[in-house]
Amino acid sequence: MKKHIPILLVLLLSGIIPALAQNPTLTGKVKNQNGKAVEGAVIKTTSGTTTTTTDANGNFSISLSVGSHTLTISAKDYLEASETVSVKAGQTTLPDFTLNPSSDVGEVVIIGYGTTTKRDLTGSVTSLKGADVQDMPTPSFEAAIQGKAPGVQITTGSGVAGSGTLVRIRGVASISAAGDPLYIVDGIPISQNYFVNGNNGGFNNNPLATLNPEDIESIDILKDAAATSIYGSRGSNGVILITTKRAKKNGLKFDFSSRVGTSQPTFRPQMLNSKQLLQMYQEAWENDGGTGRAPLPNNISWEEAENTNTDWVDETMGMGIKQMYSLGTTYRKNKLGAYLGLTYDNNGSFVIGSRYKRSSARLNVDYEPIKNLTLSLSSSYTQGVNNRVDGAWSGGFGAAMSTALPFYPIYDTSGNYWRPGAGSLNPVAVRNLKDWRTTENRTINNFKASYKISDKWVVSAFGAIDNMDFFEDIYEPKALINTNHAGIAKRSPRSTFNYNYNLITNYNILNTDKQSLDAMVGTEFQKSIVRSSYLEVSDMAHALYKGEQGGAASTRFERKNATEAFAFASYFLRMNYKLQNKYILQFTMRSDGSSRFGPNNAYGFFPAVSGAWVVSDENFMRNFRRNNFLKVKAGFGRTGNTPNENYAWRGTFTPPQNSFGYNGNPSIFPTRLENPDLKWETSDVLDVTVEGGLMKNRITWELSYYNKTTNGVILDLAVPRSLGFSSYYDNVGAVRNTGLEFSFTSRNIVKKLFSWTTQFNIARNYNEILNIGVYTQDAVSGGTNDTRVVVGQPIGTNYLVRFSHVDPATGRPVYLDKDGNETFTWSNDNRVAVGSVLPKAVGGLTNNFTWKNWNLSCLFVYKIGGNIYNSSGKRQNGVVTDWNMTTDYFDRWQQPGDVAKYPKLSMQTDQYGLPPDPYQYNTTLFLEDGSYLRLRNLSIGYRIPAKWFGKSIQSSRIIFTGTNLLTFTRFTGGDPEIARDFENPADRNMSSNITYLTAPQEKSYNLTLNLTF
Amino acid sequence: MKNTFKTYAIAAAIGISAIGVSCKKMLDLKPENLTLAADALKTTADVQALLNSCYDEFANLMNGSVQNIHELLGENLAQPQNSAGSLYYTIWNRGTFSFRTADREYLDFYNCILRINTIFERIDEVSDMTPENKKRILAEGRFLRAWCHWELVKLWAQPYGYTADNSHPGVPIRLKADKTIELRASVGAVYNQVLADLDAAIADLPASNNNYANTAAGKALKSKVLFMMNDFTGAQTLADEIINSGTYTFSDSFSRFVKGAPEEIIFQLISTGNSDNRGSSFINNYRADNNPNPVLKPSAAFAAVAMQGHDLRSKFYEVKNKGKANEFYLCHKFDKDFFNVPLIHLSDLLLMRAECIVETGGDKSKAIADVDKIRKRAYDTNWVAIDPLISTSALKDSIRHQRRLELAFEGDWTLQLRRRGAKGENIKIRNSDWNCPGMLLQFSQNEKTAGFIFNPEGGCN
Repeated sequence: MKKHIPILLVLLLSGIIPALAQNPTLTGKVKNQNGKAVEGAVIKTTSGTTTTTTDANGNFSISLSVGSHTLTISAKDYLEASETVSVKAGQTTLPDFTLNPSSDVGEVVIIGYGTTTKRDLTGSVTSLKGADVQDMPTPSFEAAIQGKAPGVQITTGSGVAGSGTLVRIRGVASISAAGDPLYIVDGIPISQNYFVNGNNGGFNNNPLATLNPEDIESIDILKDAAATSIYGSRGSNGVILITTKRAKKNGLKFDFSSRVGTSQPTFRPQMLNSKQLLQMYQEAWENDGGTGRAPLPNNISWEEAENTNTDWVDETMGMGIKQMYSLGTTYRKNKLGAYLGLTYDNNGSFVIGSRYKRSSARLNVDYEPIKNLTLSLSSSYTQGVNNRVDGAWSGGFGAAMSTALPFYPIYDTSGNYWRPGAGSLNPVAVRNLKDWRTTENRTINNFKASYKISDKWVVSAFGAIDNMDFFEDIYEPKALINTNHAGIAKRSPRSTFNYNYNLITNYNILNTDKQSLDAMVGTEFQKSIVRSSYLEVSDMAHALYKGEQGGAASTRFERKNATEAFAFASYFLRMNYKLQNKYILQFTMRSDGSSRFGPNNAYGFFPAVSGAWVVSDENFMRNFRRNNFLKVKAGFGRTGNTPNENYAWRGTFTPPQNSFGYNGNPSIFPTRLENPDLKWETSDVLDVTVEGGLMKNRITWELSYYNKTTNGVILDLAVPRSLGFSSYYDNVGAVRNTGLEFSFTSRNIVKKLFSWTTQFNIARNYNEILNIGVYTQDAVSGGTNDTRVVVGQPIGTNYLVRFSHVDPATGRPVYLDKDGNETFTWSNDNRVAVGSVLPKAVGGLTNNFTWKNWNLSCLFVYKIGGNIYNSSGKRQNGVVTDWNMTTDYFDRWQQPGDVAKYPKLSMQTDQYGLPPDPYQYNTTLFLEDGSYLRLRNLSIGYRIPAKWFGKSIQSSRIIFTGTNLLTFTRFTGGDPEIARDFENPADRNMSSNITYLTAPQEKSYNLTLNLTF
Repeated sequence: MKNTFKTYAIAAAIGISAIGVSCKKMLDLKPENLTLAADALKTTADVQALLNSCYDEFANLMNGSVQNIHELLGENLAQPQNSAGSLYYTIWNRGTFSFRTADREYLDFYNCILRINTIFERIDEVSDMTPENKKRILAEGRFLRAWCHWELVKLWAQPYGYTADNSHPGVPIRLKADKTIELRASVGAVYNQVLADLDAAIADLPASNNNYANTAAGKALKSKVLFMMNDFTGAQTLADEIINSGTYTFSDSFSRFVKGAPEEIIFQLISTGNSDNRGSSFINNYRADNNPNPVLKPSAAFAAVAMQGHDLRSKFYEVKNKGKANEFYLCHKFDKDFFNVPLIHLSDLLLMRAECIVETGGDKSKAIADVDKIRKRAYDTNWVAIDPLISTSALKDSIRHQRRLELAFEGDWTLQLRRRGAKGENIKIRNSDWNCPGMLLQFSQNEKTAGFIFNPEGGCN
């Protein structure tokens, strides 16, 4: 053929013998977005005169005359593509055509211990690309999921650097056991303890902050039992699978990304200035019958107070600077592929002094040494250094909103930091004098060997190690604390060594034109060991991370804590049956053994059965032409959860090395009474989903319903303290979660120069406590918060006295008793379940516009309904104490006849009908509507034309990103997206709608440059 | 192919079952650095260490935590600032309720009792226990159990004598280390249990015991308990026995909160360093040499009584912003990094004996001799002996005045006032009746079980 081309070319070009022209036959290939061949794709010329179809390898041949042709390429499950090709004389091949899926039905979805396609999926899974969490800077990658996955409620903790996120997949099914999803990075369930450091400083350590978002290839969120029961005992609250980047295409490629940005608070607390606060004090004093000047806290005289006006909010919140540099290198040559990622992220928060620096390196290597054997190594090392400041109840910006009063000075008359006794009253002094940082060194590694024994049979072995060394250093000098020594240095190291290994075999039992049957069997073992200790030197001149020299032996105290460990030993099985490519049935089963239970209850059994029916493939659907795709799937199965404490069932004694002893002699003592009956918490989950595509899949949608009933809920029950202990774990009660999720993607305009895509999702979850056995609603509480377990109400419902109104005659607060009668007396006995801890709906709306080289993306997230309890509001705008107030308090009763939001000012708790504890003013006055609409992310990108750089740069893009730019809410207490610091997992589950001096979210502006070369 | 399949299937089955076989072992994780309860008490040393932990727990309660509560309920302290989460503010206002009360102290006293009861139940499991050791260990356990129950009943119940038959509710008596819930026993029953434990302890305690409870400590404690029951004869008999034994010598210094062991100390809590500090709650709340604004400050009423120039003890107190609207007082009694906490000592017994003598109509000169020992030490060169012809009531006032000053901020004075109220004296404590409901702490919400009686609240202001 080749030798005739020049002749043909001449003939064609001359146009002399067009009638004789035999159009040349060109060959080409049609691939999908993953590079896989598309069989059965139809290629047509616009005239429709020429048509051809691809073979099983995606290859086709077509006769085209020399010149320009517009071809349409269409294939089932793919968007029709239109390409213009210019055929030259002598040309024999066409460029490859790439088709994008019409919906994501052909897309690969990562599931537990394997992959499938969206079409074959029987469970409920939301898949996100790495780009979805890299498109905006957030304190931690999971915060960027917000609004992008239906049924996944994400609440970013705050704008403090390194802060954590509350992730709830289809609500929460646990009370005292952890309610967070299970996170699995490249196959290893990573350690994810939010309480390594308690809530020290008003902040929970975020175990996910050390994961580098730039390394993430995809995130798959498993939501129902069909998807999660393969993780058995830990699937109750959903599973998040994170897959990191690997080299796919041959060649060497560099991706460089740099970002600089700012951090500012979304909300500035409106606190009173000195003059305003003094007026309020005086008014309260006179309302209480006082004469003369009101006494001021901390022995401050009026003269000093009137001459001081410190704006503590300005002193603790400012503008932070962020910067990130990332270099990703992918290399593949035939059987060897490697990805090397290096990232440095320096994330300064608007909270002055708060900074999180993350340096990370990742190496992922794939190698096929011999045919059918694939070896994969994934290895990462990250160092996260968090420069800490006190926050919330512990001081810092929390003090600026509470106990740091505007008439307190920063410096005393001698020029030293003013120190009234309690350091937190001068947050500037604390920030500047206290040296506080946490350091996390984390390495996550795995190795996988996979051998394809035959076309039908693959076995693989997998081993992984996740090790995290955490150190907290705190140094407080004499100028800050009450000591006669130089200062106190404390160090709390904690190492978590976590490993797992599994052996899996996949076998294709049956594979015919009509049906197929695949089986996967595996066994897995995981163990996690935590070692921790504590060192305190009470006469040091600097923090211990700067060296341990300097403290005399007599001033040292060292303690080695009990080593904690847990282990899981598991077997699992998955069978997939497919008939006529439209009826899909899946059965999964996992048997988990856990060290957290006694021998009688060590093993749990977690089965699930699910099916999918591709309705659109049925003959009777041919008449519904607008429905390109329709699929119904349903699943029912069981998942579980374990208590957080590793030895909850065992009776234990604390040995001599872990206790102080007394009088120089050793001590031992009972730590816990044995409870051999403790067992799994189990959830039975039903899920029904319908998904479809309309108008040639220009619109795709999905609607899901679920019902999850959790039995044997693990509760850390408060018991009478006269027993000599305060609580114990037991399986009590039941919880039900039900919900609906809907999402759609609409490709509104798909033109070469301009495209517009809209994605929308909305979800509603309702959970209800079905019973709590013989216990009262006070048997479990959310930390210090007034959230309780009440039968018939959601977990952590607000349990408050109802505030009726302010009595216009006396200015006193009027409450409602249990029966709804008005009363001036506040009483614990009048608490009722109030408000709605759960929103009516949450979701997100994304619009993407592309015009030539420009791209505009805009994500709105929203929460409809649901209350926020402003727990600090009761102190700010309640009985006048040693707290500052907000300007909202101006709306107060001042004289008979006044109709006001707040009662008269008073320093006496009894004037409010309260016991002598202003904290008890827990009333619905501070329960507010938490609805909001937020412009979560706005990004404008410009793809720099390649010609600007020549061949050296393959692609380059510059992007401006703004996060949290606009918020629409009626909530008065700060930012409506809140997650306060929590005391323990139960508090985390139960007190999700409480704010307590919580820092607002971060508003940031960023400029990013992406280069590929 | 078939054979290959078989081979691999068998190999996989063996592999999987091999893991399975070892699973049981792999899951049987015993906590490192924690001892399983069943293995914990094998030797005498183990039981001794458990007993030592009872002292440890007790010391962490009597490190000022309990004493401060009594002082807050009384008249010696100024109102603490209404600060964030201040339990002290609530207690001073005598308004504890089920969501804000001293439940840490309540729990820890019962935790101490749980440990003691564990000793009682498991001591026979130990094979190398000699009869002498067993006798001593159980006696020390009884001594501490009695003291814990006594401290509980003083905080959560009306005093002995509030009702004629002492049938008013006391606190749960716990004699077993199990999960059985006990309701409140009557105050009479609690005191009976305390005395029964003390009698058994006194019988078996050794004469000397290296900072731990000895016979004298048992007797002295019983003497204090009887005094609190207004049993002056019984209290005096035991006090006499100890004072006259000559084992303990009246100290030259009234500074008993020191690192050593003044010769008048009968029982004290031992601190060995900054980190092992059994006076921390005194220090953290009162210390004023390195803290311009401690949490607890003497009241003006106390300062008026105590800040008398001729009394050397007045050096413990300081006035700030004198004459101004924001005038306040500081207490320097606990200005140290750490010290031992004296709980039973001769000064206390002398004042107690003196008051018993006066109450029982005994030899007044003996009472004067006792109280003058205290006075002479306090006034030194300014001391003037009490007139032997002093009236009984004036002598009683003088003894009590000395008690208030000598044991200031050690948690004593409020209890004395309540005891005297129960005896029938017309006592007001900070303008309220000695028996107003708020003088008692409320029980924690967690105690709400069927039949458990909560204390009435309020009524003190």
